[in-house]
Amino acid sequence: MKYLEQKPGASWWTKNPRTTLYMIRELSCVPIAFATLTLATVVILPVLAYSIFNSPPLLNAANNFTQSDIFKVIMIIGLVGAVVHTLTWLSVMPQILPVKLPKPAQYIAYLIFLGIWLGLSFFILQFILV
Amino acid sequence: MPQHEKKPAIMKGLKWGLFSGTATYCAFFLPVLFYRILVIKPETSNATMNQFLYFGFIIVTYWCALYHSLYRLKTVVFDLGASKKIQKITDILCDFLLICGSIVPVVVIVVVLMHGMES
Repeated sequence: MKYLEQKPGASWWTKNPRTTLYMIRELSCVPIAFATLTLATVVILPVLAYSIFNSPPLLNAANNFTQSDIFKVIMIIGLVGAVVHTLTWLSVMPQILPVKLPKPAQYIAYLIFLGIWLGLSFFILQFILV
Repeated sequence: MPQHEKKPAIMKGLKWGLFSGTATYCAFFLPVLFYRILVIKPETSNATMNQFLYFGFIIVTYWCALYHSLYRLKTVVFDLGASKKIQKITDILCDFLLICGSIVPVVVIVVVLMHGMES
């Protein structure tokens, strides 16, 4: 039966706008991974090194890098990727609920989820990441 | 055991469950972390209301984002129809990055618990 198997090519997702959008969403993980690893390298590791060795040069170098334009660009790319991921995830959530909702109710649920997300973000900015 | 009755892939299920959980967490909490780092400079930050909460939030969000994005990278390579060899290489690379990236927050938590937030 092996000769009957049909494998889609690497460009299968370009033939339909919906699958193209799906793949763009999937690929937004790359900037997120990159920004997250940068965050670990530049923010978390120097703090760790400072805590262990009590040596400020690495911390100062990291502080200088966080002021640079390169760091800002990386964070903007990460932010765009994260927002794309969030908006698409929230739009899918009403469709995968255990209860099947009609289309208008799905839009309302989407707006509610958006409100919850924005409210939580505001709360975190105000009270946790002060 | 008949051939169609295969053992459930428990580890695969757990990994996927973790992927799904981190997806929800990241959807709600990752953008605000990037926004906070981008907009508010560290030196302008006031004393935090609860430094452990602040630090914990960054560590948990960082790890969830790392796990979720690396797992998704594997699925993208699979979706693109890459060969088994490339899939295997991606798996190894992603697992390596995940292990290295997971050691960091664990060590940070241990150091913070030992030395306190002041250090």
